[in-house]
Amino acid sequence: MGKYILKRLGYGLITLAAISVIIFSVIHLLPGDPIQIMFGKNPVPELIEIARKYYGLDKPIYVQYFSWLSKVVHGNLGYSIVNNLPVLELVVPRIGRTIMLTMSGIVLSLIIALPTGLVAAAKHNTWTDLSISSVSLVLISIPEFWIGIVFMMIFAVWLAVLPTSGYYSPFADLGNFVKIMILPAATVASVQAAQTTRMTRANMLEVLKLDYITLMKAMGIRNVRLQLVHAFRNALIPVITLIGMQAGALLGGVVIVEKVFTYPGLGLLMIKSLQERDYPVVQACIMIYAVLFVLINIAVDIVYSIVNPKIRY
Amino acid sequence: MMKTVVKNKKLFIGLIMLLVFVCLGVFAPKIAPYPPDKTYVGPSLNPPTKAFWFGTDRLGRDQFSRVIFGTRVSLIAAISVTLICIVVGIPIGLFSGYYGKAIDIALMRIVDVFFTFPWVLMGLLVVVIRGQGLNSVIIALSLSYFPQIVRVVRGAAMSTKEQDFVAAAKLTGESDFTILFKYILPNCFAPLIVQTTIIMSFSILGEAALSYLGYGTRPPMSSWGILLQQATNYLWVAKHLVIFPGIFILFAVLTFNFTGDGLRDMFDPRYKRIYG
Repeated sequence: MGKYILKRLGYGLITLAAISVIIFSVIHLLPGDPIQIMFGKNPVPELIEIARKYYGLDKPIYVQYFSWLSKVVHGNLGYSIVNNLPVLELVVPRIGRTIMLTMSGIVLSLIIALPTGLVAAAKHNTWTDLSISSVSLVLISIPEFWIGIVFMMIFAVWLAVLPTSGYYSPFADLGNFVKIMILPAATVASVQAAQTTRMTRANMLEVLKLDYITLMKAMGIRNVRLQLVHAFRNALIPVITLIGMQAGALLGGVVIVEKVFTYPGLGLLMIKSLQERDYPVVQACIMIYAVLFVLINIAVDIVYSIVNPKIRY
Repeated sequence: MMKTVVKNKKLFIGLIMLLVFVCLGVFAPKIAPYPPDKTYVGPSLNPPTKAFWFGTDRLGRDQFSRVIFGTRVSLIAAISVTLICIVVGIPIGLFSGYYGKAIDIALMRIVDVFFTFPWVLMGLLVVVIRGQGLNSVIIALSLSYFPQIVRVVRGAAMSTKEQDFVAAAKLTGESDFTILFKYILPNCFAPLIVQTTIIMSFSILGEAALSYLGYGTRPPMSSWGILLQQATNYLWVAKHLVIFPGIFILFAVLTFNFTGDGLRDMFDPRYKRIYG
């Protein structure tokens, strides 16, 4: 087990290294020489030379890459061009908020999707099944941000029971925090839930056809117990894989949901910084997303290996 | 052929919707009652009426015309992304699946990075490099979705290469190129075509989302994502602006989902039993 986790972490590091190379190259692909821009219209060649040396831009590109990487690893993400604050300070409080929104989305989606998927499979080919399947098909065909806007229109504008946007810290004002989280989390959950429902239903139907289930039926084990205990556990394995495979899409979806509800997470910062061309912040955000995303994948792999005894490393 | 299509309800509905969708895009100038960018053809923020079916926006532009013209952007995005994915993905998938071993491992490691990297971030990266625009969106979505083609083709190539006719072709001295593209590729066709419909529906969702974030086509050109982005500013006064672009996105995506599901049922009857 320990060896397996180490191997997964190794793969994760390789992926991160690849992504860091991509991000670093992107910075260098950007049009415009930062030193030229710094000196504006009256460049003094000698000063440019000195500045180039000072910022290490005269060194070969791979040396620049490694010095950038070592700074990043030490938590030095540079300074925002717009307000000169250290990027790390801007980014850290937002990571927690984004993780909180993502997690509440996933948990909410599982609470909705697992029972609905089970019911749809248990009532296969009835009206209940048909309506659950149709609703989930429609939900996976709608963009998340539209669901968010429609939720906002219904609950914030028409019914006026929930706020449209903003943020309260859970430590300062728990009541308002919950209120503010409901719509964004529900939006993240809705698409996710639709996919998980479809997957749960399909897996249950597949497992229920297997020989061991027929045998148990013949042995007279009660249907509810059969479904919940014996079939469900096996049907759950691909669902966990699905959640892992969707981690990337999920993080991306959260970026958009943050934008819809002006939820002050990492995604909103990234979008805002890109508009202001604050590239150090954009880079840092993309790098953090990459780390989050690699971590989620490793976590899923590990959970998967625990749930599925067939996997031996 | 026709009989199978009509009998397969999902495929039938999907293909009819596809026809409607393509016609809307192609004949947009004929269908739209007003030029989509012309301001003040009606009053500002007017709710739907007989003259303005979907109402008007802040600048008095006809929302129906704008939504219809938005179909074009979605169609262009979906078709371009799918074509790029196919052109890039098929050779990689064929090589990876046919040669296996080190080539396979190396190619798949690289492809997996693209496969798992979130498409929204890919969009941002491309916009950072190339600036805002429909082309950037198309590039970003292609980079995110071509691995799906690679995986499908690779899987099919791996199972096909073991078959006798491939061994026979090798014995008769056919070149690798001929074997790959003439003997193996046609056997990847069924899963490939299902996957393209999935990529089309993803591209439509992706284009709408990236335009919503402001990275896609520039105003005044209209795209469903831009229309929704503008609509959020008038949630209190003009709810009609939110409804219609969303319904069109849903319609377009359902079109490809139905077509894809139908095609999958046709090629792989085992699936139908499970998904119904």
